[in-house]
Amino acid sequence: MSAEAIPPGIVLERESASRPNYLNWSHSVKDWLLTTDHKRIAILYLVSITIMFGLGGIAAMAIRAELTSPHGHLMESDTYNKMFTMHGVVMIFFFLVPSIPATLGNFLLPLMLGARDLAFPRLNLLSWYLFTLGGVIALGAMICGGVDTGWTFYTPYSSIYSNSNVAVTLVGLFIAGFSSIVTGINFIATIHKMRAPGLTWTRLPLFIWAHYATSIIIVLGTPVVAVTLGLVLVERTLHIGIFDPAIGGDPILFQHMFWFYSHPAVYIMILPAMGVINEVLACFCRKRIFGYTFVCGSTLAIAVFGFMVWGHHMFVTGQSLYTGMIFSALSFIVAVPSAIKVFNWTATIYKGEVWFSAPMIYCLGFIGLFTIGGLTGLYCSSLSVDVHINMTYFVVAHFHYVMVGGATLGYLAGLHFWWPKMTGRMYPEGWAKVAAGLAFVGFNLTFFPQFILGYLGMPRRYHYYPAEFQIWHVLSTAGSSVLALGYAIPLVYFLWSLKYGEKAGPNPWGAAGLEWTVASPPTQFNFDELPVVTWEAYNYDVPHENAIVDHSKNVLPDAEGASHSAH
Amino acid sequence: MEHGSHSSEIAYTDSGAAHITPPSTYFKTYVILLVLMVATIAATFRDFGTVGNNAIAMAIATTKATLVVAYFMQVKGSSRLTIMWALIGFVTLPFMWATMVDYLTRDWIPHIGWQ
Amino acid sequence: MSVEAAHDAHGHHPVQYHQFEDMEQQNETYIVGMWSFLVTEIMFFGGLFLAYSIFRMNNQAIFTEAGHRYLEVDKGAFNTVVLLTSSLSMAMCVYYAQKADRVKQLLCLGFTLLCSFVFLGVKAMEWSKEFAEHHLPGANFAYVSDAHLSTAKAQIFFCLYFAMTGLHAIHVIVGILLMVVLGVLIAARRPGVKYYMPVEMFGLYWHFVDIVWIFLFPLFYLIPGKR
Ligand code: HEM
Ligand SMILES: [Cu+2]
Repeated sequence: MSAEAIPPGIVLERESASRPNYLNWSHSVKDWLLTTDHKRIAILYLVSITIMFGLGGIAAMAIRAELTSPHGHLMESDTYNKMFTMHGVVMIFFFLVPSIPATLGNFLLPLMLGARDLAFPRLNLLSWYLFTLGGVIALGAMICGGVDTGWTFYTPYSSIYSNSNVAVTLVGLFIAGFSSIVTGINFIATIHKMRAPGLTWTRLPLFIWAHYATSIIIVLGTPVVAVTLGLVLVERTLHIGIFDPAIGGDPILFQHMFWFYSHPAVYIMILPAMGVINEVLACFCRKRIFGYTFVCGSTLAIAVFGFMVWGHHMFVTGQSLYTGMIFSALSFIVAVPSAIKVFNWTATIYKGEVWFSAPMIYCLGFIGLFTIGGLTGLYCSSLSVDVHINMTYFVVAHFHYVMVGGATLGYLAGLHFWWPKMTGRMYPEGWAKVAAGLAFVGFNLTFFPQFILGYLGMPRRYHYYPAEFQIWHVLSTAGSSVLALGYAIPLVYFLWSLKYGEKAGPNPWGAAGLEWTVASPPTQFNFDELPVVTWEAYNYDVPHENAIVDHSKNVLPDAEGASHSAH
Repeated sequence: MEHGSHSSEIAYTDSGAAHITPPSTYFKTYVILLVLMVATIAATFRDFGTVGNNAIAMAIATTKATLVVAYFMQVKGSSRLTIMWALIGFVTLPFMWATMVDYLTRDWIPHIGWQ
Repeated sequence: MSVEAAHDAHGHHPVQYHQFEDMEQQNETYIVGMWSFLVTEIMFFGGLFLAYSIFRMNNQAIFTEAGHRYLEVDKGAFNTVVLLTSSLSMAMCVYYAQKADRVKQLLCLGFTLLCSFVFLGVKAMEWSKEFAEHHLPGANFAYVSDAHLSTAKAQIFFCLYFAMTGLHAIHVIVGILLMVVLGVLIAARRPGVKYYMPVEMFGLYWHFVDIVWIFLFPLFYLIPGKR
């Protein structure tokens, strides 16, 4: 169906405006705080993690400001240690791990599956409360007093010697861990049992596959870190335990148990982002994802192999040489499924009708930056090279390329893509493109110098350094200001769009997928009638019924390829 | 197929069907579990070498756990999905024991001329 | 619209929640959800079992000595029987729940509850003996080895013993609380528990607690190896 055939969104809009949607059907504070609607919980999470991101970002800016000088003028060493710990803990445990699953995943899973809600709506609410409780406890401890162990909490420093609020922070993390477990269980049950009739595994959007794999990792990994941190907590408070060498314990065992979770945890952060990329890419290339089954397979392979490589964090910490060799080899293998995805995305773009909307720009940024991050991961996985770069800024740059360039850009891509669905309003496309560009440029300016710094020997977690490194640090700090601007602008225009954004209509992108067949914002129970699915995912080669005129009056190139005015 | 083997009934209160395991199955399982417990105690009082004794004890414990999962927890005869989720934890857990490789090879010395 | 209203709208089984299409879907979702929760429990205990394996491998002698000398096989075996029996009665409780026989269901639940108290009682006896013998790790820990083995490693043994049996006992206590709640609800004929699913889910949990003990018993009380 061509775009002109449909009156531009008017019919659908009037219909959705006259019906109460999930945002406006009843909106006392109590209704929101006791809601079991997955969409509202997603919004609650969105608010929470945005606050967390802001706090983590403030700590990051403090670190960067401090590092402009080789003499550490701004803060004491102790304060500096607390700053980078707070940054790491907040960003990893309270932002990246829940970011995509708990907001976009929560919101979209039932919509994409054709269900009225997640399998366990009350558990979903519990998850948010656990997250908030854990967050308040951990942040309270980190702001009032601080923690100086780094996000990795290595023993025996964390369990015996550190004089900071480790114990309370660990309690907070322990609780937040359960919020993630609860979400994982909920997603698993939902994806298995709540699919609409006809929605077989090979018809699922890859976003769902990504969340399935992520949930499996959460369910298998998080309990291990919970029990490990629990043991550190006991050792710290009661001075009995199994990690402190002074009382017969074994600190390397802590590292094994910690990384058994924390390596898979990096896939908890990146897999959902990869899921987002699949959806956005397919929509803005107007193509089915190339090699759908391979992408599914690589998703599962990452989940499985991700559990076999934790030892690559311990090459130089006393682990046996032979174990190092095995873990090095396995780390090379785990890069293969990641590479498969990159190749598939590239092949999807090839000969696609690419439309450079803001989400697509984020998406392209993701692909490039994730590739760099993943490849430098291989440098780190090579035994002898890692001896040189371990504990330097090279590692810092590696993981920021995957976590900020990858996971965070993926999150922003998804947020822009589904913002019209979540709020019923369009964000200002022009500003969004500017923000996406700023984030990309700022990101590279911030973190590329860190590869060089690390290669030259700048150790991580230090704030005094030889003067010849200063130029790179100043560049990095300059970049981080640009990056910060790139994050601040969306915050402003997203809030602005809530009131002033153009009405989006159910399917502003002319995208395939069940979530685009319902009203924006969706009604309380999502679907009036449960859909029966008879088509494959990403069926962009058939005319799309809901395709409507885009807000910026650019007609989306639809299936007949009739219009290219968007280019 | 699977259900038929222990003559489960399909009954239900109001709506939805449940596979009801007959009590005799539960009692048989219970008796076997007790016998296995006695066996594991008896085995430790005989010397099969450290590895042997441990292998026997763990084999018996695994058998007992399998019986509990299959019969008490009614996994036998339930859907493939349930079976998968009942197994996934037990299957993944041993991965962690790769850690042992580290401890077992700590003292190995690289071959001369290797470095 | 409340959940109740949604039910009315769909005209379904009284305990069917609005997000489900039919009872079969709901039941299997619950079972899958419960099992994936048990997977997390397996991994949770798994971390401790791993720690045990590694310390035991590196300190076989002191583990064997401490275990054989201070943990009593008869008490451990007795508790094993108690837990196995409680598992049987829990299975029967689910059976009667499926048959909708309220009285027998309550009797079975009561018997399971009784078993769990016996289990904890025996555990308490054992622990207080260890306390008295200064085997509680910490400042007052004392241990004299026949073979002049490391006291620090003996302390690790007792750390693991208390951590693992303690975590198991916490699970038993949680089980007791849940059983009391379930029992009260069933006795009060609350509609939520008229259906067998809550009992079945609790049953899964309880059997899992049993499985953990099945491994704890040989690993601590028997410590397979040369006697
Ligand atoms: C393509 C596959 C990857 C490989 C082979 C890989 C390899 C490595 C290695 C060997 C290290 C340890 C470096 C050292 O400490 O000397 C490391 C560190 C790290 N990686 Fe990756 N990585 C990969 C992907 C990722 C992804 C996708 C993420 C996150 C989304 C990530 C996050 C991290 C983090 C956070 C650290 C630092 C941990 C710390 O604080 O010490 N990595 N990576
Ligand atoms: Cu890693």
